[in-house]
Amino acid sequence: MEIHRFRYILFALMGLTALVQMCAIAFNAMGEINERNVYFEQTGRAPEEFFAAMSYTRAVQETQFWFAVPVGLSIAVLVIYAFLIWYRDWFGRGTFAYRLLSLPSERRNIYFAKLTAILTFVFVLVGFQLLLMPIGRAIFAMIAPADQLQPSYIADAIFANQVFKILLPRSFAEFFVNYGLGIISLLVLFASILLERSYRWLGIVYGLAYAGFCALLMVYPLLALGLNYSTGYFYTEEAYAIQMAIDGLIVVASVWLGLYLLKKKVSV
Amino acid sequence: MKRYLLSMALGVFAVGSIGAYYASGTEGDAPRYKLTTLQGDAGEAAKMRLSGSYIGGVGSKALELTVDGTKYQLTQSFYEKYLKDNRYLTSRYEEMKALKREHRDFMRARSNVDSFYKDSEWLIYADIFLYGPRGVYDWRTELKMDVLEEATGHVRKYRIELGDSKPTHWVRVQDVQRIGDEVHILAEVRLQDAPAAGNVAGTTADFHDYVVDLRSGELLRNNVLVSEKSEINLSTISNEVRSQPSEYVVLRSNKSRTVRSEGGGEAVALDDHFWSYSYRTGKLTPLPEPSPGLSAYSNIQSELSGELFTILYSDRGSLAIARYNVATGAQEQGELTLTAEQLGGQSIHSVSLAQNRVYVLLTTESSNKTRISDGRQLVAVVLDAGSGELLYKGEAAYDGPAEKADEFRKNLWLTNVNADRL
Amino acid sequence: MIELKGVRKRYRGRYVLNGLSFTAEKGNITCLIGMNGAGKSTVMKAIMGLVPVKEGQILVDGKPRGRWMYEKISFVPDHLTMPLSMKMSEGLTFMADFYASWNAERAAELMRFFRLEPGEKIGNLSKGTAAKYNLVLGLAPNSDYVLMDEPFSGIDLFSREMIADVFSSELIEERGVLLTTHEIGEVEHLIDKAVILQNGKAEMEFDCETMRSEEGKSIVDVMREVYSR
Repeated sequence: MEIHRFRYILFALMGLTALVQMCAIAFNAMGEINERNVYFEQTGRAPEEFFAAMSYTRAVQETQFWFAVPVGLSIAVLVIYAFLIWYRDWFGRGTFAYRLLSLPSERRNIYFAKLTAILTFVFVLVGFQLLLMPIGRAIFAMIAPADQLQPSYIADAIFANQVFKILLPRSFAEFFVNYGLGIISLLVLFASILLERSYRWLGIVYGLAYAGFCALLMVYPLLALGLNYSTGYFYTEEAYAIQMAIDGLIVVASVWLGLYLLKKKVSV
Repeated sequence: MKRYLLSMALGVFAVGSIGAYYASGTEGDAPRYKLTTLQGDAGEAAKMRLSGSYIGGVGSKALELTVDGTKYQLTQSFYEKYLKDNRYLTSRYEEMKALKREHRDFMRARSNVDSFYKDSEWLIYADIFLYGPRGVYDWRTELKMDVLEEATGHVRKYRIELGDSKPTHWVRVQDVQRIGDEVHILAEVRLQDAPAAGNVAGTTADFHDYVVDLRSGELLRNNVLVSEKSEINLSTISNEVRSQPSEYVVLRSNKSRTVRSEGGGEAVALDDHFWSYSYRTGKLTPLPEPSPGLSAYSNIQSELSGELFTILYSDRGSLAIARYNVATGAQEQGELTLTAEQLGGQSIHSVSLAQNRVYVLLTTESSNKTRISDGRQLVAVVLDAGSGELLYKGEAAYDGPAEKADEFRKNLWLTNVNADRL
Repeated sequence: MIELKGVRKRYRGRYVLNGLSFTAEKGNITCLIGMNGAGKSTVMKAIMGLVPVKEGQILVDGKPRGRWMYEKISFVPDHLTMPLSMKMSEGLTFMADFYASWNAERAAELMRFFRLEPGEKIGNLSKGTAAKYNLVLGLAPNSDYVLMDEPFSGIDLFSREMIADVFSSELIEERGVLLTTHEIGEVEHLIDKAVILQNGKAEMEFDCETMRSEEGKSIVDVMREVYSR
């Protein structure tokens, strides 16, 4: 149901991303063709002598800014909604929290419904972006004249964009780590929000303190254990193991805290 | 159930698309190459690593080619990136890896591979540290020696203050050896000279042999072996298997000059002098000067193995090997020179000397083509350092459908050859 | 029977409920009376588990309150508690999905009785209509107890009459009702039992019929007595 409530915004974001990015590719292709024609008219020589073959990868690289705009917007919307997904049920004319908290089902289902909703939105948008890449390539191929087109691999095209280097990294390991960190942040955020909903003013203090503490814990090992210089006491694999243990601890603590507050301490 | 239709559809879509992306490989345009054996035993090439890039339509991608195939830098598994020990010391040196397995705690926070000594009874790590506030040359240098007794596993730690007559600027331990109950620590020390009136203070570079008693940790002697002014570069070549006992170490001093060539500046060594130093006797024996033909070479690599000291000279057109016995100070056999053509190519790109083998990366080119890459074949050769015998010859070729082989061959640019060290 | 024993709740430093104890029996309509800010809404929310309590016990049919009781107690709050973009019919479906005790026929009947348009968006309802919809959501389930927080406040006269009618009908008969209201005069004739809340405690708890017949006092009379002490 959480997903249902958000669907229009989700589809709007997807549509906007598709529109902006595909138009950017199209304009880039047409612009390059134009340049080539101008060259031909001015010098009478074949464009191939001066220009490299048209490539989708290069087009993606050149339109980076336009690609990044809808992605940035989507990220902003999702971050805001990570807050709103809780607060909208408490504030406003219809305080849905009353209903949710008096449902006969387990309260933890509310928590997980909201969590999975956000995660679904994130990964749907990521997957949609992936889908747009071959579509963009097809559009590019339709516009560019066949004899001047150089084939591109999707993976290379994705990597041509700086934003995608983080959002769609080449190795699954990096993907796991990047999004894993995002998920941990989300869990800490949920715990902080529930702290605020349970303790109001004091809760804001608790929430910020908790978030700050978790952030510190995540960063401290990297700096203190000497991961990045050769004379650190711990071997790299040991330091990473410690780091991951801390991360796991934060995950467990945040989820437990969130569920506990929701069940016992939250109030309307 | 109908309620959840949208959620399920979205979920499947998300997992499906992301899964497909990562499953289908994110390397993009990354063709695979292999080393085909033209001659000799492929086993000799097992330790060889050729590095370079694939330059396709979108830019260059770094890769490494070995007899096992191609590996691109781009995609590393989770294990490789995060869980494996990537520190230089414990991942690049086989013997260090073994030591880490045996003595995990002793090996912590060790950074200098030359500071190790190992034999069947003792494992020693000795390093020298400079202490002082930044920017000021402080006089306090400390020698830290950790001694592990293999039989008992007991570790003794010694800390010895070293004092030098002039302020110390930089110290590095180059070799550690044990003769009887004495531990010899060979270090290169750079000292600040007293400034002459109005001039900028120069530095002196020395080789010191600090001798320390194994049992008591007391500093017995401090021998200065070589002392040169700052324009001279000093280096040591210690036994190849660094943690094994060796009675000798080779010291080298040379002047370097930067030669401008089309690619930029290259540091060329001039006035090379080599000495053999015996820890046992304390005697410094100069090795025969290289012949004029050898001095003309721009690139030198060397290796000490037991009593045999090998120098490999190379440049684009040819390479030469000279060998010396460090106990007697005499040159063994004659010099061995091989041209690129004799090795099967036209131009030598890179050489590497390791464990009595010489690894060479050559290209064969046809001169009547328009672009460098057109006719170029990349050839890797392994030679025996003593006899110069060709043990292996292989060619880098595209690993895939034959029609594409030629096209992809042109896109492979290998630049360096290296061998796994012990 | 809903029973509160020594319930204490803190809000912004002071004790809104300070050792509150009373009972609301099944089959009775019990009314919580108190001045503004006396804590009436808080009591309702505490029973429903919407706010945590510091001390004390809340028992429903002898058992401590918990998730199990949501099928047995319905709540009719004083404001809308459904998402505004939902249609009323969707709201009914929502309740049907989650509550085993939901009675769809009764819900449809109540919708007709109150003359509500199922396709109307909840956000568009007027105050009176919203209150009626809340009643539908609260009365349609086969619950044993119904809690109502200010069911008459801000409602127009005719709607009020409709709601009052519901009280006398069989929809309420066998259930236990606990309600809070300001408008004592309006509902005095409906109430069986009254609990007067002052200083966070139940100052008086009495049966209205008995009070009227034995002492000749109306609820308002008792209130005046209590507040003038």
